[in-house]
Amino acid sequence: MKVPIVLFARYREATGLERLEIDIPEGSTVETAWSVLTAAHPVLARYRPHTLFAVGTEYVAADRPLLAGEELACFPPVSGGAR
Amino acid sequence: MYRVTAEPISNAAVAEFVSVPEAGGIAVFVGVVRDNSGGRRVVALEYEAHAPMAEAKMKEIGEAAHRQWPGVRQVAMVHRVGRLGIGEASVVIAVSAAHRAEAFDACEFAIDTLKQTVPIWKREIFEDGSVWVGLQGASPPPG
Repeated sequence: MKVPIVLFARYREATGLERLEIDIPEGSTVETAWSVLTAAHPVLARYRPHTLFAVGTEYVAADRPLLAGEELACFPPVSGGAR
Repeated sequence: MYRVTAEPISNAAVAEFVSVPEAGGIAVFVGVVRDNSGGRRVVALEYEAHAPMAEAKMKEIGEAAHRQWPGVRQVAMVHRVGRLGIGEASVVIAVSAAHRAEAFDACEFAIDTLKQTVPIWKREIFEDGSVWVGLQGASPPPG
């Protein structure tokens, strides 16, 4: 199935892409989507330990299966800041 | 009101939004662009958001504040995106409550939680370059 991917901040800049589409087997997990994404864009691979994933407006775990029609957002940790 | 905007934020408008007759106090936090970071002179900050998710997460924070502090009456959170100059407001949070202690506490909770959970990223622009904030350890080496 085709899965739209949306990238933010450093990830968008590193790839030069805000949106792209990957093709993964139905029922694949977020982790599989990330693997396919980073195979096409190896510049992202090193960020895996810090990467956050979201579907719609919710954070999702890497082992969550993706459903047809869902868009996956991949991004670095949020801005944080000292109190 | 939970909003991501590319327009300058009016502190007064956000405070006015939470002003209700049954509130005895309004706490307002304004995050502004500071002219230095780590000893370097900052000329601007650029903010980027996953806007629909950021607004949903801010709404969740507001709802959590209502649950935790029953005296809270209204919460408003507005975050700016785009390029901001020194002194410009990047985020404004206003909380009204029956009494001031709850307004202060809930406002602090809101900004602290926003910084942890709301998908917004910041890039510091220096005179001689720029850097995304956070994840410094994973940055490509200089040069």
